[in-house]
Amino acid sequence: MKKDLLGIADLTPFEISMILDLAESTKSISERTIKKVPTLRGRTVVNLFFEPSTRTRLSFEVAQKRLSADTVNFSVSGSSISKGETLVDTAKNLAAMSPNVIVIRHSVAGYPHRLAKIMDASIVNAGDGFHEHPTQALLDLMTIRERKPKIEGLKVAIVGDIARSRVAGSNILCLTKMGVEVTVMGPSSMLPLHVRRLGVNVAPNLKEAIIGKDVVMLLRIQAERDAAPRFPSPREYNRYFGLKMEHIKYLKSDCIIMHPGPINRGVEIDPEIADGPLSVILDQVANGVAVRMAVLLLLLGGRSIYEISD
Amino acid sequence: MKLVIKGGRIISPGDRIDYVGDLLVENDRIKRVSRKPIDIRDAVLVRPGGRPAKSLKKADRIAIDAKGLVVAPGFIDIHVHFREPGREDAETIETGMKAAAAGGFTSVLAMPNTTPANDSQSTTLFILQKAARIGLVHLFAAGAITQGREGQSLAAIGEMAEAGIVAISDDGDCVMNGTMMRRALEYASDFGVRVVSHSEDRTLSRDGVMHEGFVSTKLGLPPIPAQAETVMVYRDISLSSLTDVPIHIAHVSTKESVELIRRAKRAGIKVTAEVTPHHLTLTDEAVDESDYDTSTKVNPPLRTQDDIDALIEGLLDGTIDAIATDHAPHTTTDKEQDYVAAPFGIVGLESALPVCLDRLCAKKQLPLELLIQKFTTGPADVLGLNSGRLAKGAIADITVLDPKREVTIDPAKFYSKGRNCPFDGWSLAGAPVCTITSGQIKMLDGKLL
Amino acid sequence: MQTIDLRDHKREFVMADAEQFKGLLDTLLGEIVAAVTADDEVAFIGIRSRGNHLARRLADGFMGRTGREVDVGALDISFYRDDFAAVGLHQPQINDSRIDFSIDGKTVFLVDDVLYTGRTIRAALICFADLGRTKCIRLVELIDRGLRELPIEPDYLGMSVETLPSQWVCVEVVERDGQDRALLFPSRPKRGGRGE
Repeated sequence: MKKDLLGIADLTPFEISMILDLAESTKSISERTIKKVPTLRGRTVVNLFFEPSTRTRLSFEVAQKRLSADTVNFSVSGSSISKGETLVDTAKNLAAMSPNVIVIRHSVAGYPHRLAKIMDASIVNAGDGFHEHPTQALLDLMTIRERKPKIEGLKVAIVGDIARSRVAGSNILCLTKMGVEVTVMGPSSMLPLHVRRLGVNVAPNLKEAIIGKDVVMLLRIQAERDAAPRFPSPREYNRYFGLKMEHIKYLKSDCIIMHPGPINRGVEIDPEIADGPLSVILDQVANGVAVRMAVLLLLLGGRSIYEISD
Repeated sequence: MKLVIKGGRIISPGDRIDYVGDLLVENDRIKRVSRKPIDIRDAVLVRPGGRPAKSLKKADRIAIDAKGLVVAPGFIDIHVHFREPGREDAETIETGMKAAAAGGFTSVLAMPNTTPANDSQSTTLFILQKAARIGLVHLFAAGAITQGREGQSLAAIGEMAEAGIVAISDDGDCVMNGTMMRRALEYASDFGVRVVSHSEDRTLSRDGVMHEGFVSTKLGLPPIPAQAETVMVYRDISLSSLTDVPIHIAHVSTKESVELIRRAKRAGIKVTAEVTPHHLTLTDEAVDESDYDTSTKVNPPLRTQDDIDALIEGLLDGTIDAIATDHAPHTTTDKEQDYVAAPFGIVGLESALPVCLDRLCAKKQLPLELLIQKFTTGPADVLGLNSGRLAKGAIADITVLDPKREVTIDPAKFYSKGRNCPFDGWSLAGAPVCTITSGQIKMLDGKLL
Repeated sequence: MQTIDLRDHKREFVMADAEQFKGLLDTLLGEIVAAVTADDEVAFIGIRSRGNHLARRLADGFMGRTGREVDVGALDISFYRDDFAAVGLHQPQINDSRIDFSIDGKTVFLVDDVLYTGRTIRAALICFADLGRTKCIRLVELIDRGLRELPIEPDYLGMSVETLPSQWVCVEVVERDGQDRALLFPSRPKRGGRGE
């Protein structure tokens, strides 16, 4: 493994498989009575969240604690890290704690990458701007892998705010790397320029997006308090882009429905589907902890993994 | 005081001079330019690139050996930001002028986005008087178009003109209100100051930080569409046509802007334009390749190769009149933030000439004479300055270039306080080796005297 | 037990072939059967990735000789090693422990193939602490190659050899490697990271 996990862009298909293989083992730790192993005892992991995020941070925290690592939490709203502090000062302040790993979420793309250049600690990107959220894509792929034995050749649809979703960004990279055919769909005001250059198909409407797909991934939609919102209202979004019960008949019988959470019930997905038999949303959450444990182990585990991997 | 520059290739497009010869300066004026040798007795001999000459400061007879070098009128940069008054931590008038002289420039136009903005006679006088005391280069001042550069009401243009401004601009910001810009053009024409437009539709660029394209999608950064510039360039050209007042478009960066300006010029509209060295040499890929280095963050943003090709074509066919650096220093503290929080801006005075000589002349078939024109008569004529020429009796502002001098751009060694330079570490062939302002040597071999 | 000095061996050496291997296991089994009392609730737990196969064989043999049912389990100590910082994970595929029964009150025979520094056993003991409270743990080793770094000794031992740290001792089992063998190499082979 490299020093950092900054994005799926830096991972080879082999490395992705390696992380998921290890995640299968770490998942079983979470299923025991005593959900803890001493492997990372004495290591310090800093969670540096410039953007509020309860579930991702909690997921990382649980992963850290199950490996017996020490967790230190910084959130900007708690004003322990001042906004506008230079990268170098932030890095120096953090380095003073001698952390082994820093998990960062930031509202601007590239921040983890700049920090990784100047710090010895391993940096894990927990979401940077509209760019990447690599552990999300990994846990999504793990969830798919559990249900579908062969990844290559699968057809996956991603529906929603493709332009500003780092979940979409990482998933598109991850899935296309692993030989999956990806189709995206959303209001055109939410598709980036040059979307096809990402190596994806673009469906003109929801029905065409989901027909014949093995996986349908919904992205979270937020109402935009903006001078020029990209869609009129959540109601209209749901009407034309939300996955509703009436769409079930277009889905393959073994199709799985995914969502990174938190769900906006009744906007991007109807509650009955979110709670229904096709949904694997709760598995995603469990896999999140497992994948994050695997990532921490691989980043902190010395170089022997390379000697084995030939 | 006599100074002769001997044996260099003298290129002055404004005087139709391009031959090997000698140039004589007496006190602060050009005395003679000739193919025949000019000799002065008891002169201290100076060879750029050679051994440092002793006691140049005291000498009143100097002979510069310019064999193999190019002798041109002093270069003019009509777009720089010196942060004084207000942000002296980022740059002062003094450090800015030093950077200019070190970079081979003898005149600069300083933009008014200081703190407070240069929107009054007193601020204009402060800036001009300070510059005059330092004296390294000629500093021309631009005043603001609107009070406080807020776009609401006209600044004291008449009073500032009396104090000596040669142009007005709200650069850094665009005058978004069409009628406001129209009034500015009309009023400015009464005072003979050139209106310089930072053409950017803020309702299109919004919170963007880089060019909208595949790279911005890939990098996940909020984008600025090219049309944010094009739309406003068209508006500004139209207003110039409506009022029949000349307008100068700052830092043109898109292919479409070049096309609009070309058509406007053909139609006889009085529009001029400038382009920066970074827009001529870097694309949006630089943001990716540098791993989100904020030294690539600039407004207008770095665009695509298609835009670069169109800008060069614009230089070749005269659509673009001048190259200007838009030298924009910022403190390291300010720049060392995430890509959204960091301010826009790149320094340019001390990298412009090597970048242009190496990447445009040596590599891109922009003739040297044309490059010189874009740094001399081009900008001089935009502002209506009596500059950029080597005519007998003109003020002796001279730039001596060595098209073969190898340099490596090292921001740590800049005279400017700004280190925000995307050309850091670039090895380039071509550099200014001597800057003469008002007949005095200000810079020799990259060092200020 | 006599310790065989193998420190001069400079080439690959078969310490025990299939027949000798069977003999070692038979001896161990006999000793274990003799030691166990009627009250003992016996369990055999082997340390992956070969000790678990030996544990299965000993358990089957035990059941055969005594007619008593015993629990069998496998322990994966990858997450419990104390040298994680320097060495990391020994294999990317961790098969994880499989102990489907409670260890509380049991007489556990902890079965391992090669005893070396003792760190594997230390990790196993920590692991047991998480799983429950045994009545007692007896350590069963096929081979002891010396060079201990911790105060840990086997209760039941097949073979004792003296080795150098540069040498590499490993065991192959039919269930995994196609044959039963104990091998000595002059140096650690490049491929594979099988723990001691």
